[in-house]
Amino acid sequence: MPKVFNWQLGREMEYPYEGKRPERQFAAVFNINRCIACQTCTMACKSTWTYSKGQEAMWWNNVETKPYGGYPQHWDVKALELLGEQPGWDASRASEQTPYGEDRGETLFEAAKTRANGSGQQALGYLPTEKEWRSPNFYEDTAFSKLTSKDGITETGTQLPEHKAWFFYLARICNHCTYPACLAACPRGAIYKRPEDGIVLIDQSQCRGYRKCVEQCPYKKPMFNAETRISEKCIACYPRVEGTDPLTEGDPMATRCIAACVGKIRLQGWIDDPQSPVYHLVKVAKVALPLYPQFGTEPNVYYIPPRWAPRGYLRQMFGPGVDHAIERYSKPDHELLGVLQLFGSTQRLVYSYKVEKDEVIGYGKKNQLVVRVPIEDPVIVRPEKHLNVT
Amino acid sequence: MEADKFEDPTDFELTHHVVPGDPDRDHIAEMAEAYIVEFKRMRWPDEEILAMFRNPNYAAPHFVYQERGEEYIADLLHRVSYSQS
Ligand code: SF4
Ligand code: SF4
Repeated sequence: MPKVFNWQLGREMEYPYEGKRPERQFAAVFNINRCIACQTCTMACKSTWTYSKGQEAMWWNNVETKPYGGYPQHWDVKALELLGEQPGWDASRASEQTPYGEDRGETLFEAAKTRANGSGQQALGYLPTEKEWRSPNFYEDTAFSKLTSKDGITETGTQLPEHKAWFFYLARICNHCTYPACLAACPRGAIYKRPEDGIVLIDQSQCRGYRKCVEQCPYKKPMFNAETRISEKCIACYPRVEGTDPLTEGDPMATRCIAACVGKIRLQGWIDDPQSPVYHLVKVAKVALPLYPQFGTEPNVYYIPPRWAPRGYLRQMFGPGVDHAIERYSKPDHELLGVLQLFGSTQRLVYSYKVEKDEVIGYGKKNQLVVRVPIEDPVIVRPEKHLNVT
Repeated sequence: MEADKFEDPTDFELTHHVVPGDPDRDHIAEMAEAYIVEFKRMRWPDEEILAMFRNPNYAAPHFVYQERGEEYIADLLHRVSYSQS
């Protein structure tokens, strides 16, 4: 198998195809600290792309409650179990290009070589049952009291009996991975990664519905359409990214889920462009981290981890960068504060930015001004003895 | 009534263990504080943040509201503020 370089692992790894990076790589940062599980993103995606027959149980964007929730159920626990216990990263080998150090474990591609048991899998995986796809919001808002009005609002609200110690919401879309397991898995070569923006697509005319992508994507983001009998997945709203939406007259726009987010937790950009605010968050401030980087696909949706969740749990989910990310995020410097204000500030894609004393300015593809947002001073928590009691 | 052949009632039963938090941390209080910091940073007024905690549609903030009460949230809103000399 050819060797490719995975910066998240800080090493070369085996992948069925030669490494070829796109001109620019689509990327996004999701700030978990702000997500309130309103599911507006989920509905924005559904009402745009998956409202047809055969797509009823298909949610390209979903928001699940950790540690229990998952769509499909238990997807991450199952992938982690397949991979088995791993030694983790050697932090002493961290460098500018390899911020988390060097991974000493095995990726799902490498594990498949020895453990796929003649199944032909390129990445170790499993096919979820229909039942596991059925309840996308399982273990979240488990209603417990009688409905008091026709619109489903309860008098006492919903309860989270599932996990009272701690929980957080994980919003998920396809990661448009640099080394997609779905692409590696497809025996028909129907999945491709666009050279111009790194968006991963399934060619609907080539797909025959073998579901190998569903089986081998560890994030379970390709989905099978029982009506058309072919597979589908998130397309990163590519017509918007291309700038073909009439609203902005040719200016690239953020995806529907990103633009619609009520909590303003999402920001879209380019992971390999030092001018992009996303680059700053991931590579400079290092507050945003990949989801399960140990799988080896080099996912391109990055998360600012929730400050309140136990560190051990967060480390197995986002890798060794968690402690630094939380420290840095809790005490943001002026530039970071500025970049954080760009989240949800415009539907247009911000290509570059400038942080001034009182405001942050975002620029579009043609270097034109697309947004100006004031920067506030950091928020502090007063100790009880210094409360202003009026 | 005939039992539903297609729905397994055990599907919706809780079958998991609690994943313990850190014993010396109050994770729920930290979560409430983080939400307040984030929404203040977005310049939401205190009343609107409190309304979000009251609203059962926002499960996480409302969970804290139910567990700890309105006074607790109001106090947190008071303590978490912008640093202005
Ligand atoms: S998340 Fe899954 S479907 Fe998306 S590119 Fe990566 S491997 Fe493919
Ligand atoms: S719209 Fe934003 S805040 Fe609401 S659930 Fe989606 S990611 Fe979370």
